[in-house]
Amino acid sequence: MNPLVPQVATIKNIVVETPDVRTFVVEPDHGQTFAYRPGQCAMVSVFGVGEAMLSISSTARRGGPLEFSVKRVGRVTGALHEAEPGHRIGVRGPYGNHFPVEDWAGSNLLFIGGGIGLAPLRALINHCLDERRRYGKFDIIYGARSPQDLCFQGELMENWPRAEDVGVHLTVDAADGDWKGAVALVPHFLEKLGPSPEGTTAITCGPPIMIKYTLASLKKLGFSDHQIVTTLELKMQCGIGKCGRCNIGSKYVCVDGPVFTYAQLKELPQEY
Amino acid sequence: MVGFIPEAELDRVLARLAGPYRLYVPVSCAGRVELGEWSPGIRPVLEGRAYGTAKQLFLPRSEELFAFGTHPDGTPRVVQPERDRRPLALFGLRPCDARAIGMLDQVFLGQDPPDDPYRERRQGALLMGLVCSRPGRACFCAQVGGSPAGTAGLDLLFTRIGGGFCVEAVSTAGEAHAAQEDWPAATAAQVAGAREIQQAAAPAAMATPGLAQELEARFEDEVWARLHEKCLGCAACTFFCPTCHCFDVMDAGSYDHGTRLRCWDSCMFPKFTLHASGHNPRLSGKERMRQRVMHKFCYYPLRFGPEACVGCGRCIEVCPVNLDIRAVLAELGGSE
Repeated sequence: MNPLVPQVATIKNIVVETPDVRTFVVEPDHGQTFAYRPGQCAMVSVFGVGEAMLSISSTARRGGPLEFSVKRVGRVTGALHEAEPGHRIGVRGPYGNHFPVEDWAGSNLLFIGGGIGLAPLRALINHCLDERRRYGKFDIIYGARSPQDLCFQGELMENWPRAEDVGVHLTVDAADGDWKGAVALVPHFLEKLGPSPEGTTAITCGPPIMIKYTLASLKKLGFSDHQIVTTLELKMQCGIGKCGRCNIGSKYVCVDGPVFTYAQLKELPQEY
Repeated sequence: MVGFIPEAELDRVLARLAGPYRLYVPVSCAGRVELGEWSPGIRPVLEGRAYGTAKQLFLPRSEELFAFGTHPDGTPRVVQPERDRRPLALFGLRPCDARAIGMLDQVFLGQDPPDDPYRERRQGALLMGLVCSRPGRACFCAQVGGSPAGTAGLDLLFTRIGGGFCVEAVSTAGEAHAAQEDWPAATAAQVAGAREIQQAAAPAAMATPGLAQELEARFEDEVWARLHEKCLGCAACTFFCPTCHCFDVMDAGSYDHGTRLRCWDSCMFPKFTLHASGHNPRLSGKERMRQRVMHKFCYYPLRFGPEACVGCGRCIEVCPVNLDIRAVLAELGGSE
């Protein structure tokens, strides 16, 4: 079996999250959806357009179909946004490592997301919520460009705040008339909230510039390099460590990542 | 046991291979030596080394991964291509090129999942090497741990002596093939002649232990800003490199009727690492040159062991601005 040949799958449903983010609910036409863990990715094909590596935003243990929450950015994501339910696409995966949830038993979890970076965090947050008793307090910090750019509003506003001992803290870069919440960039907002590093693991996903400043803010708050977990994304074509383009030093993000601790990240050349 | 094939017998040896195998030999083509498919009457070129590499036989410049289209009811279908299932045989392969195939094996077969199209072409391939008696002007295999008489990656090693070839099996597959062919044993004088050529060809190896670790610490070195200055970014070095293996995956056609292709790509191109967002982690020639050199002499060795350079010198020969990897290594404090 050629690992570069995808399974044919059908888009069963499309959820419009924001003006430029949609969640695609996908089921393979034949056979089962592959098993996956939070943080893993898959290659999604739009036949005739190409393939893109997307993080999986659903949670495998909930047993539902695969979900990809996709921001409209390039050719493949643009074509996906044109698609309607019933459209056939290709899916192959899962690729990469996953969030090391087994290391976090008893720890408080601080999730810090920006923009579409909440997609992999959503898979993780729901995974951890389903085994809520294994961890301490949850705090979810999430920022977007504007209130209408906040993804997964149902979960952000309803499901997660209602769960046991979960704090949800939202911020936007620029407010509109109705916004009553915080207006701040994620790193500033984080510093103002000032969560204690004591017994806490911080997990951050977002655009590269947000990650860079969030890492600095976490250090300022006293988090050690091992307490900080993040994900990287690079251009990929194969997902199996062969096409040669997602390396950072001797590591391939598609097989050795996308999840890295800040301690691991510091060992790598600064080229991402 | 060392066998002997008289020069006049070579044609018959190749003819026997050409049935069960797809046989490639060095041939003269528009004034250059290239690997070409053998057919009766073709005389292999026994001097020099092929202009192109053998990698294109295992990882073609462009290949169809699958075709896609729709069934009459509108549902999509994905069809994988039929390939010639006969194994490959290569005669006259230079030891550097054979060693490079072993390095590609690490990437395409040595880490899960294996690459199926590559495996299909590689499986059962018979690699017959020819000892280099005269190095080319850009050759430097001994400086990167190779030898003009090296056997790494080969099944059979041919040494050309007066009147014919001494043949030695250097792998299990080579032994099986030699047993089947049952070549007459070389005389003691013929074996001695072959040994003399092999030894004369092989200067003392000057591999540079610890280079990978040394380079790892020099990622931010100012030398990179200087090294790339005259590079045009044409990527000829990577396309002619026997160990470079980067590829792109792209679609041709449309949803109803198209193919997914895999094509060679190069880290020397600006779009290689360009994100859809516009972000590019390797923005200038400096980062791209550093990536090419570091991949060969630092990243690949850290992952797999040996340096991903066999010293064939093609990158030196094809570079339009005379960038010489040997000089780059010398500048970086590696082998001279």
